[in-house]
Amino acid sequence: MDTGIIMLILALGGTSFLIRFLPAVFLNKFALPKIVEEWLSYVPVATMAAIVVPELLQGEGRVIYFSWSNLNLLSAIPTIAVAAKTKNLGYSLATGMGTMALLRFII
Amino acid sequence: MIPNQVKLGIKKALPIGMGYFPLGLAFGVIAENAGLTANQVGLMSVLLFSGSGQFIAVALISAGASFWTIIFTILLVNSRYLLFSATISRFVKKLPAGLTALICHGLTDETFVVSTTHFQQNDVDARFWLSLNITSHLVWISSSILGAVVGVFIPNLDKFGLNFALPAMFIALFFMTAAHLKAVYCGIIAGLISLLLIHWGMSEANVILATVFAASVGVVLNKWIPGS
Repeated sequence: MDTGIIMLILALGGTSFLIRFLPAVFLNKFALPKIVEEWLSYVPVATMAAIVVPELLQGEGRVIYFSWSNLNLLSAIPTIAVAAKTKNLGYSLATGMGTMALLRFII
Repeated sequence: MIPNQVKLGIKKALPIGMGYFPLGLAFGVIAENAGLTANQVGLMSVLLFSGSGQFIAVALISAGASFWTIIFTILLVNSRYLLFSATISRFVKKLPAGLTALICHGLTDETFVVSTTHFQQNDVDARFWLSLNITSHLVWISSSILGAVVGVFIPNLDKFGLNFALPAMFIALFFMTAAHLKAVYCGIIAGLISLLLIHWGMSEANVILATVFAASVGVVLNKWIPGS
């Protein structure tokens, strides 16, 4: 069992390294077509939204949970305001965690 | 004397570390409860270095999933790294392969966005990049080990708002990468598609599929609506 876990961790690490490394090292040999570059430019913003939107809306086993008990959604409001205005990771984190702590304290 | 680029990398990594610390702690606690030792937790954080990937891996381990199920699921969950890696290919052109490998291993959602945003206005500097990645990685490794070691003594962290660290980070990363209005639209499409995919029960592939779809829509929109 123990060696099983270690083998699993090694395999997870190895495959993760390959997907992080291979595109960077092979695609840098030549210039990518303009349309591919443009496509890739949309990847970060799309990924972040695809991760965070469900995180904020899901709750109580539902995909969309609009409720005053959805603290993630409530905490997101000031966080979005600060993030949009400052584009600063630290301020956004402080706002988000601060709001969440406050809501937990009140509710 | 520490070179300025190294200092700058560490400075830019601090907010990332601020988010990683509670996440790493939480991961360590959960992994320890699932039966992993502190050494195994540390090894996983060194080699896998992926928040969502590690949480899901541990959940699958305790659910008794098979080796290949776990490998395949994590590959799917982390497949966005393929796209990130492709994106940074233009920044690593002048770097030797060994250095590129080291930098790529430290590629996460957070380090990716912070470094690529930085390189839009500054020259690519391997010292900056490495110190950004390594600092973030060290926080992740140490906090997850700490969580595994002292997990049982840590009170419920949620009441300090720490459970919102990850969503808050992604909200910030979204706005850091949303350079113009079209990118915002693209993000909104990605978010909606992601929800739809989860609704259809595809909660492992939602991120990569929504990203591929929304980025394609972004390209098409740009063709049809020039300017703006």
